[in-house]
Amino acid sequence: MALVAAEPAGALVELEFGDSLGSLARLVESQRDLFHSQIDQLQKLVVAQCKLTGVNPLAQEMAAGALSIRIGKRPRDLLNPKAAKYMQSVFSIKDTIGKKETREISALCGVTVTQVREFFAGQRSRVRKIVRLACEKTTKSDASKTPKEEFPCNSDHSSTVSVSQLPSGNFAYASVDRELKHINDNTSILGPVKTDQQVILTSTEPVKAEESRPLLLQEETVPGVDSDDKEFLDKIFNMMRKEQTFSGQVKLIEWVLRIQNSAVLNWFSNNGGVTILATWLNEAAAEEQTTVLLVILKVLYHLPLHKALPLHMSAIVPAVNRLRFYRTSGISNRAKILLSRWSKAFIKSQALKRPLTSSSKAALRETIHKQSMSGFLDDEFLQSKLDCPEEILALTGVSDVNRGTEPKNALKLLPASCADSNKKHERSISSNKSKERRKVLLVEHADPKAAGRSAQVVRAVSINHSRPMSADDIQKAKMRAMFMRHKYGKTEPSSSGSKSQKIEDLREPSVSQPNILSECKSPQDPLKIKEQNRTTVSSKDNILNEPENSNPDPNRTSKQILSCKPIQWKIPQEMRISSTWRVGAGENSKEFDIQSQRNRREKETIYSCLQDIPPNPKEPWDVEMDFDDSLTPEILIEQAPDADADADAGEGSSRPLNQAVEDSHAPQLVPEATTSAPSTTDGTPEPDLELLAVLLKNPDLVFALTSNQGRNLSNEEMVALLDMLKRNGVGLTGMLNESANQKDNNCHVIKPQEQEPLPTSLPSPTPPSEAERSAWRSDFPTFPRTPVLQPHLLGNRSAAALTSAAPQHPPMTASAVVFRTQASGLAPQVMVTNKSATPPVSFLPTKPQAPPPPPPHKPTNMHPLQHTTDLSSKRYPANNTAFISSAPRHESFVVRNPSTTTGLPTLPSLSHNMQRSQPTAQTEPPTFSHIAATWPAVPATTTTRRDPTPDRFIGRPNSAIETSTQNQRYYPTNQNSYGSHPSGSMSQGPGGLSGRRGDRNGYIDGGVDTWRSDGSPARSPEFSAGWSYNDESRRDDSRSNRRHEWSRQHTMGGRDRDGGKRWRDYNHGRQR
Amino acid sequence: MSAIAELNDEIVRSMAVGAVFTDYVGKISSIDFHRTEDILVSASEDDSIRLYDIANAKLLKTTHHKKHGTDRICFTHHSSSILCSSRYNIESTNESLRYLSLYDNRCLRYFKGHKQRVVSLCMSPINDSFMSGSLDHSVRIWDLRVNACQGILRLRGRPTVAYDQQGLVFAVAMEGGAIKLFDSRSYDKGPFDTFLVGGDTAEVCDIKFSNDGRSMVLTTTNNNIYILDAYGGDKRCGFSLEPSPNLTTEATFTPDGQYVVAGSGDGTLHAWFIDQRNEVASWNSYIGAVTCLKWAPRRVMFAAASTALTFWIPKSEQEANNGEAAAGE
Repeated sequence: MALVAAEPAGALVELEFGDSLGSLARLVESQRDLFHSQIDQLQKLVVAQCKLTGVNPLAQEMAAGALSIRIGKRPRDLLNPKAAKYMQSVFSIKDTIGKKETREISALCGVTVTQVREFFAGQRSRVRKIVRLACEKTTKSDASKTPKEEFPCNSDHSSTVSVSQLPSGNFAYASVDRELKHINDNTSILGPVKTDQQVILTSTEPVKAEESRPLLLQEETVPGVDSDDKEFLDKIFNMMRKEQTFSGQVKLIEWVLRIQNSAVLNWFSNNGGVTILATWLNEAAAEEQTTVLLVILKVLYHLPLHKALPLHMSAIVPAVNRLRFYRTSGISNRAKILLSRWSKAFIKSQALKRPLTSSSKAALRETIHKQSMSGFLDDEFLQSKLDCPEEILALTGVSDVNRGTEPKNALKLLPASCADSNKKHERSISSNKSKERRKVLLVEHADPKAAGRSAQVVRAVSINHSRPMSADDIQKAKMRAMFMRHKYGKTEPSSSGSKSQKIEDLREPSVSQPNILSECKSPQDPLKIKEQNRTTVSSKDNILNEPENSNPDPNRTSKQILSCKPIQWKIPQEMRISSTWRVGAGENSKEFDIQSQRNRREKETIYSCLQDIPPNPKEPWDVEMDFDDSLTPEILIEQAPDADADADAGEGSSRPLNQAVEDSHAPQLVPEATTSAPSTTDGTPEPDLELLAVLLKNPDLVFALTSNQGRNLSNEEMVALLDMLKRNGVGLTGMLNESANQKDNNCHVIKPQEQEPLPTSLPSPTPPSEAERSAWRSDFPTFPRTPVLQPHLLGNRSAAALTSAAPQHPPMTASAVVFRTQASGLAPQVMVTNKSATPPVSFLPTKPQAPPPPPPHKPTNMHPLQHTTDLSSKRYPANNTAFISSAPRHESFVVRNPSTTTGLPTLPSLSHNMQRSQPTAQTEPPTFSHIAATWPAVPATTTTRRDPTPDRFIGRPNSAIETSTQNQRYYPTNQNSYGSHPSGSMSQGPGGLSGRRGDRNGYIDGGVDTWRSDGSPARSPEFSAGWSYNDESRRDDSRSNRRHEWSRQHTMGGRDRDGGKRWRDYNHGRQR
Repeated sequence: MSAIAELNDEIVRSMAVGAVFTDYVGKISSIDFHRTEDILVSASEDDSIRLYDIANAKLLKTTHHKKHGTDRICFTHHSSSILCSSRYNIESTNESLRYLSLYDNRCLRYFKGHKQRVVSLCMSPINDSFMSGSLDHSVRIWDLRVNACQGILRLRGRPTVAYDQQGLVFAVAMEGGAIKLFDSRSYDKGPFDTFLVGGDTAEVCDIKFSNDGRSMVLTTTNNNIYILDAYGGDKRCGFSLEPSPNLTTEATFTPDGQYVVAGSGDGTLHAWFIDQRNEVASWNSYIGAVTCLKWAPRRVMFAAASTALTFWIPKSEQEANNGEAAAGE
């Protein structure tokens, strides 16, 4: 019946009313009334019970009472002042007595052993209580006085005795008893009431329990009071342990809530109530029983847990801590408040031994005074109440008087927001009350042991940090500390230390006061004593954990650290980036437009405040299929040796300026051939198969090829030859001859060719072009050779003839156009077209503008020379020289056509031609009419003019292709296409080329596209020099990269931006 | 305010903190300027992405990315679209890279492929391709418009990638300080050049090309800074700064390519004039060892970040006069 002992209330009453006689009398009166009413109630109860059970519940007692009149009462009578005095004297020497002593005393004084033990137990608790109530000075006398008077009172059954010095206890008992009766009429709470001495003793018992549990356990043998108390609380515990429904739990908790006696509550919490509550809390949390959670939290507020055993604490703290993140804000708030309150209480207790600062002396006096006014426990309650102004404690209504007495402002550590959250909290309680649900799943109660085990872990933590913290907390604190150290430690090593010091100082007042408060208590609280030493650490940790403290810290410190105040912000000056650098700015980004459009469609999301920002962005509109990563092309990370060669070759060809000088012809040729061949065929295996088939069918040919291979037959030539073979396919009658002739031709042709180009190149003023020319020279053989070859082929011959006839073409141009579009299926026709075409070539541009052609001719003749002289147009020289070599007399264009047509057999060379001629073709056609005059100056102008040509001829390539394909029977496609070109004019040449290429590659559009895009951007003249190279390389690029849409972009973009001097080299190297 | 084409020592020396943003919880893992717009985006360990107006030093937007976290960040060409690499859940979701729109705070696309954290991310200056280097020892080439990887390079060590400012070349750094240069249009052919810097143990953690394309600056994990000739790979100069353990740091060119600014582990910033290899200025960063340092592409302004973000601008005349000492520091 620990509940009975309303110690603080009693103390209060005693202290408040003890002074005046009148008040004493009043007190006695009221107590007497109480007792009477109690007895009445008891009687009623007994009667009721008797009626219900049929047994007189008091039978035993009555019997005992009857006996005690004889026996039982005597001992009590024997507990006379003399015995009491004796025992008192013994007690003054030693608190506890052994069994032997007990027996001795009992024998000596004629009291029972039990009585002796009771006496001592009562004395001990009393003394302790008194010690705590007042300072030591007053205690002893009190302690010595009370027992004396106590016993007489005790001995008397009647309530009148209560007038004596223990009224307070009785009063408390009475009030609590009433309370309890309300709660639970059926429990045996009233049991202890049966005998007065028990009642009286109960008032002291809880104090004992509260002081130390070990003591309590030690005294378990003490009859009467202890056992009765435990009987009661055990009942509660039994019920609690058995209770598995949430509603039942809530009911039990509500009982506990109604208990206002902190001693009882203490007893309750220390005897396992907390553990059970922790279990419930966990269950409720798992089941999301909001109501139950709220009630449990409430009861946890209610219980004086700051005095609970660390073991129990550590059991409950993790559970509560977990609730901090509960999704219902009410509960999480409550949990937070609870935790902060506990942490504060612990800090206070930790701070026990701190030396009192002089500044707090007043506070000390104050608190001492208060202690004398009210019991310490009330004091504690008061504090907690102040901490949580509107908390549950208000429900208990404990000692309103106390509350009014001394508001401790210093203890109001909680921020104002706390009050709000509390309010919310309360609201949520009431609103949630109706939501009670029945627990569906019965979870086995974690027995105290299990709780204890888990508690052990936490306890270690809580000892370290002095405030119960979860691992999460600790982690956070550590991280924060690390972060702070890292952030500020380096620049100002002292800052972190001083900062924390400062903060500690800031907290000092608040910390020290609790110190004082708990000072008297300190000796009795081993846990707290143990933890005192860590106060510093803990307070620091606590600071780190306390959001309201730590949040401003970074700011403050960073501001501090940023000793140099930021200068006045002004918009920083802009910096111009040289346009020659060609710094990219996403010119070729398609996604830019996509996103711009998307943003036009979508609504912009703007978050008005930080809280609105979702933790994650919205997911994509549609889920895209995962790609097959195994198909991802793997990119070499080593420079392959052949890649090097390739690169060199590419560089050699594409940037002759830099490297061609070093390159010998042969090496260049080889790469050229290799590169060109794949480029024309676009690397598709088909041609090779064809060739293979052809070769297989004609072993002779193979033999001829292999055996007769002369030095003249360069790889390129070889490839060209093979290509031709391939094309001619079955009709190989003349093959051998052809090949033989070819060789001859090669021999012959090459010489003149080499000679011829030289003069053309010679005029060119630019030394660097030399190198290129030489490089080109090596290419030339193909051109001259082809014309010689042509004789073998009907078409070729006619072409050759036509070339001579070229001058006549002007009239032909129109027809050529017609031809091209119409039937070019017949070889002769083609030849004609060739003829006509070749001349038209020069006119091609004019074709639409028919008349002008003639004049251009002569100027065009000039072109070659000019080209060669022109640095920028290094490609041109090649073409020109080729023309010249093949048809020296004819205008370059005319010549060129034959050369191309005739040169057809050598596809690779053609490809070169084409590639290289493209620029010329591009530039020429449009310029044609104009060019005559403008040509020399051209580069810049040509570039600008490129645009129209592709456009103009976009449609033509196709037709060219048709013709070419048709003619293929007789001649290599090149020839045909070129033959057809003439009709299309030179400008068509490029178109045809691209078309042809496209035909093979299936990228007609792509080819044209690249062109157009190439031409479109206006290039500043400065770069024209580079372009010619780049153009070529890019063309290669575009071809090789056609696979990817954007790779083409690369080339385009690259070219446009290709202003770098040496970048060119890279490009070439890479482009290949 | 007229635009200037070149910086001089005076201007560089006069740089000072003009704005500070300290509301980060944790390190800032990367920052990036938009190539043309006056905006900057930052990614922090607090899983936030923040968008700043660098002309007015204002925070424009904040978004959170709790699920994936934020690590490397990079603008695309559109001013509200960014690429961001993930810090969490890479194993489980494989969503190591995200294409995000800050406009409506939506994820536009996931780029899956990297098995581990991406430590280097860069966008082609000209088109929609971008590259990412991950701790899974691979570099991937992507296109913004498709979620399929366009190419993969497998290499040893921690990869670092960078495009040149023209978008013609990209560099990949791998184990042992080897820098491989690729043609961005035909990377499938393999590298066309290889440079070696800093000895066998060097781990390059940052590459940047100068705007003129002539130089590149490499920062190694032990905070050696090398400036290479981007064509030939010759070392033009090298600077050694205090390393900051477990942090990667950055060096940056000024837009005119004449100066290099780098952060030291001791919380200072240094600027060198490349041509003469002399240190022009050094400042106290005020925010400790700097993890991110980038010069605005088109402004006389740079941003430095560690756990806070600072914008540096040149002082005005009188400010320079007033606080000469502070500037000198």
